[in-house]
Amino acid sequence: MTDSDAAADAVLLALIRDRDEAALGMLYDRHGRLLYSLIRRIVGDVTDAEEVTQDAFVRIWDQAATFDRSRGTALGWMVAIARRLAIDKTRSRGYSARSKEVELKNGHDNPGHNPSAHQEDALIDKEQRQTVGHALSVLDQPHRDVIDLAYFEGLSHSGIAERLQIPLGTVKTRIRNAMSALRDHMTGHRESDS
Amino acid sequence: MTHDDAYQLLESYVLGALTPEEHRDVEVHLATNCPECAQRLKELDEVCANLAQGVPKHDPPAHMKSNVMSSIQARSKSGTTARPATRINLSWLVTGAAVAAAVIMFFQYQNVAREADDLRSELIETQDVTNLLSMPGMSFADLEGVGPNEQAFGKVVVDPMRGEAVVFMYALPENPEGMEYQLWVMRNGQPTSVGTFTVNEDGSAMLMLDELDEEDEMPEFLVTIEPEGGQPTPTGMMYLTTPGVDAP
Ligand SMILES: [Zn+2]
Repeated sequence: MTDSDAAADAVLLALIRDRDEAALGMLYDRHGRLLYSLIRRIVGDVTDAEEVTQDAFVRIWDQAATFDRSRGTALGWMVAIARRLAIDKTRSRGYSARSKEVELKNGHDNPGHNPSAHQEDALIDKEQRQTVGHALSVLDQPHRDVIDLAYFEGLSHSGIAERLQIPLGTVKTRIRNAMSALRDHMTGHRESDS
Repeated sequence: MTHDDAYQLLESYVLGALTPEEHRDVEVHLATNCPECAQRLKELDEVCANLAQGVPKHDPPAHMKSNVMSSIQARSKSGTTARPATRINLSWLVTGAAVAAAVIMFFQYQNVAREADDLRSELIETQDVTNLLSMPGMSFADLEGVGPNEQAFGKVVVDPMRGEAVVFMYALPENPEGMEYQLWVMRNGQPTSVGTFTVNEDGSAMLMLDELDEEDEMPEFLVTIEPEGGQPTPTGMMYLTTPGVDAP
């Protein structure tokens, strides 16, 4: 993601705001796979992922005028939309009641963990293990866990505290530290790239 | 909520992990346009986008794009007026002051340009161009055709905060063989090249500039025709200027 990619996305969003359908098609070509993959990772179901991805692009179309470049990149804005819709979907389906544990190493001896996971959940776990191999690999397990629960499950501070059986203050500190570490890691990468 | 309180919650704010009350309090603080929080928020927004990149990738089903497009078309049927469609040439020229850098960057963005050639855009009227990037903090200027080329016109949109500009140009004559247009930023009457470009079949071109200097809140622009590759200073005929610019 270069600055020029970001500028290209911003211009496409401006065109979309001007009701340019072809621009939405281009935006789909550029980021449809990423948004679909993210949504699929969150909802864990192919059919739902399709539906939510479609909703996300409709949302992008409807709300392009609210995108504000001074607050972040177009991709960040789209990712936020996709995440929110996907997390809402899991809530509407009562996913949380199904004890859909993320792949937490210490989650296996969690009191709330239901070992009789669906086959689908097994697939999700496998995918999540791959995820951990990517962006989150810079974090140690406790920090990875809080980010995983906040980012992919949309849990609040108290929800994370409850799930991990740790104090609220610890959750807050870990989130701050984890996000800072991820940020530093990204910046480091960019510098070593150039 | 004080700045310190809000700042400490920004990580959780972007993740959506705050209580509704905390979330609202942070938004109230952000609405004060606190520069420090705004900067941090942008960084965290990038982290969130980056976390998405780490997810295992799956190709969406082939029919999904057409489903998306038909949902959009169904929505946009209600009440939009048809506007003259024209093709714009999104030549993504991203450049600092150096022409060499500009040329390298230009080739890097050929892909985007090629995709964009298929983009049937609706922006020929000046007003549309204004709408196009009328986002908060943007400033605008017109480009006017000069002398025999008075039919040409353009629009500059500058984002002073990011030091970026988008330049749209229309109705320029096709550049002759071996010649290219060259865009200059005028500072204190001195032209600095920001790169060369060719126009699309319909005489339009669109350029993106970044790394404008801070003092370039709304710099003056000049377009001349020059031998391919550009010149260190303008030598050829002037085609477009921001109003008020004298020939160098
Ligand atoms: Zn602040």
